Amino acid sequence: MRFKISTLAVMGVLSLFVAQSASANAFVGGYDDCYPSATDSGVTSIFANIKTPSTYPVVGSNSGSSAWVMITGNDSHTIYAQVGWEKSYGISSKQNNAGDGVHYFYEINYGGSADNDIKVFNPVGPDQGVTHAYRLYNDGKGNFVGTEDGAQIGSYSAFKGTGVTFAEELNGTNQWAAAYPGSASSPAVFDSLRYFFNGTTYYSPGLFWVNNAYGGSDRTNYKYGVDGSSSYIKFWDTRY
Amino acid sequence: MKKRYWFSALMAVVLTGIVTVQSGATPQTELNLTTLSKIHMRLDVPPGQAKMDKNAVLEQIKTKYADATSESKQVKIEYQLVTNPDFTAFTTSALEKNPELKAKGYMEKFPVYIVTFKGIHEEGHVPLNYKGQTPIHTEMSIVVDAQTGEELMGFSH
Repeated sequence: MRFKISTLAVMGVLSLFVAQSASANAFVGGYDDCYPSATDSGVTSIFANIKTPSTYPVVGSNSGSSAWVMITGNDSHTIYAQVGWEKSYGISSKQNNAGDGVHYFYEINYGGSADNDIKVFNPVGPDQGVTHAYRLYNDGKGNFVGTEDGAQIGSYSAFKGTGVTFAEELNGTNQWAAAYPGSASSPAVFDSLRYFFNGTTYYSPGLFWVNNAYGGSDRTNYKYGVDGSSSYIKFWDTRY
Repeated sequence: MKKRYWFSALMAVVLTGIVTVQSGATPQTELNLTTLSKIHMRLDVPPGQAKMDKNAVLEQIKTKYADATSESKQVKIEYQLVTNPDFTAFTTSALEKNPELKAKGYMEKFPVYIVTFKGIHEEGHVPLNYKGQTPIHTEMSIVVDAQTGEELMGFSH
């Protein structure tokens, strides 16, 4: 198998994304800069080890932090499957006696309307400071299966691999407190980043997108670092 | 004579129950079966009573998800048989307390309570350059083992 080392550089910041939601995001590089094209076909799997920070971020109302991998199925990215962990206000803060309240999730969107999104989640999530393996793959029967350390959380069969691409994200809605995962002393880490396309394994650690909650390019509170291995990246909120 | 009548009546009830289950009768539910089918989850009519007390489970989940309880307009509980071959990421505790689940590894016509919080607000994770409407989840359901009371999984939409 031929291994191609992607050397995506940091490409700066754009500001058009936030129209639908006040989210602050940082995306790790993906195939074709996350844009599918007519020639794209057969992104069959994405894999990443994700290490949670030693202290989970504080989230407030309508805020959250998460890390996940994703495969999309159309140009407008309104069809996709994701798997990862999250600590969001919507669910985890409702788990008052569940300790950290973080949980694994598998989420699909099947059309881009407000009610076209479904999420499956575990009652538990990763411990702090621990690395887990997240994978999305086509099982050969048309299902995109999401797993955490090999345990299946969900699958979705309503889109085909043709034209799919992928992205990875850490986000924090409304930039509440320590909305981003990670701090300077304990960054959130992606490693072993790789995806599989047309029989080739690609490593793609380049951070190509950071935007703040209002669509700007302010990265004052957010830093990242990449080591020389090109399959590793870490993030931290500089306020913590 | 009286004993024979009661025996016949009992058999009729039992047979009706068997036929109902085997005929794939539509379960009584307020959940959206079309939505559930997208994540390969199916409901069937349970054959009898659950082992766990319904009200106890409801209070257990309402207490655990206290914020959801206060935010929701309604909290409903249903007793169902669930089939979901897609979910195998159960907690160790859930597997240890239910040997059947541990052996099977997934839920197949598995007796559960489903507690649903209606009227919550939860946004989905949208990707880079997403061009749709912000996905809003207004219902969140927690699936609980009706034999042990262990929380198994959840879903929202």
